[in-house]
Amino acid sequence: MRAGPLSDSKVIELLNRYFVPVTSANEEPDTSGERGRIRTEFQNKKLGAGDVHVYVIGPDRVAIGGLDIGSAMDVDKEIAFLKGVVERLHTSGGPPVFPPHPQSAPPQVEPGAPAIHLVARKLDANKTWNEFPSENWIVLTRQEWDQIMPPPDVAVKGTWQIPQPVAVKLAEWIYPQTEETRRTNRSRVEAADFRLTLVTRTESLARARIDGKVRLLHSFYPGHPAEDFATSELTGFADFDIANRQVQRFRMVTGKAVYKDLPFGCSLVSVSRETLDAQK
Amino acid sequence: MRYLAGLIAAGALLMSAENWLKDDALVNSVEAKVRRIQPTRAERRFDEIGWAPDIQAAEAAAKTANRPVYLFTYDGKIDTGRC
Repeated sequence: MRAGPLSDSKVIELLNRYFVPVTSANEEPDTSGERGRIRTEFQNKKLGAGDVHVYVIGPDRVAIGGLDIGSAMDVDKEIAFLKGVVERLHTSGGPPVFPPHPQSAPPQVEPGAPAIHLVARKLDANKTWNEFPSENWIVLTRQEWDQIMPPPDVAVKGTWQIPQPVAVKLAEWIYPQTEETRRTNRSRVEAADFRLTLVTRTESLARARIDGKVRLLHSFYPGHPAEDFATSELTGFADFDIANRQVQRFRMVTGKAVYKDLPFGCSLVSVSRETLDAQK
Repeated sequence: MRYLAGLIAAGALLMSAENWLKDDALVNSVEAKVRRIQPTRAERRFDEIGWAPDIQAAEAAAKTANRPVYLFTYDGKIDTGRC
């Protein structure tokens, strides 16, 4: 849906001009009970219902009509359906009720503990499950960031490693898009080795090169155990403010990375709290 | 006054330069590879839709604006592409 009708100019225009669009993930708690109420009403009125489904309800919360996912994925059917609703209700057009904004929402982070934005995609544009990249936000605590800092006595060319619990948090999303029905990570990280080498040092600042290797088991389909491994080699750098014990910048990107015999790319980029606040 | 503002700006620039290491070949190489992986504008057209934060907010806004609600239910996380 996201890469099909929900990226189509006409559908976007119709939704913004005549509807109040909203998404709801089935795994999210239905605290208001509205998702369940709407589904039940559609079932009772024999208007169709499903887990992955389009429901349209009127301004008075009454069921109007819906589309099963197969029909909703057809851009022409989707446009005809939306136009039909607008004509039936004589809806007046206007600007979007809620201003469009990035849906991949950054998390709340502690001061001095940047969030990490991860992007992963297959490198062959013609492959399926690759219409857009996957994104994740990784949150390390201030204490976890502190474990990435250079040891006090390390000199240029000296090395150290990121401790395993932190390394696993960095590694567990390093795979391209797969089918996901839940929001939690289901990878089994078998190796997460991130070695840092000090390349520059001043009185208060330092830079390290990062060399990483990751191997994780992640079946393509949830609930269908399969020996699908993602293996990757990464390079990157980290800039440190030694005086204030802070990681200023952290970047890693794959060089060679393969999932189910297909090459993929993945990047991890730190984003400071100040930058995240400015984007809100 | 303009001179003073220029001095302050130059001072701030110097201070900020002292607080950060200059980009080198390693940084430039990594940043270039990172840029190639980032989502493109075409891949983020989904963000051009004015999505309501939740169903209740959508219903309240629909009543005020006299518009229908378009609800898409799904599995996973459509916002991050893990779905």
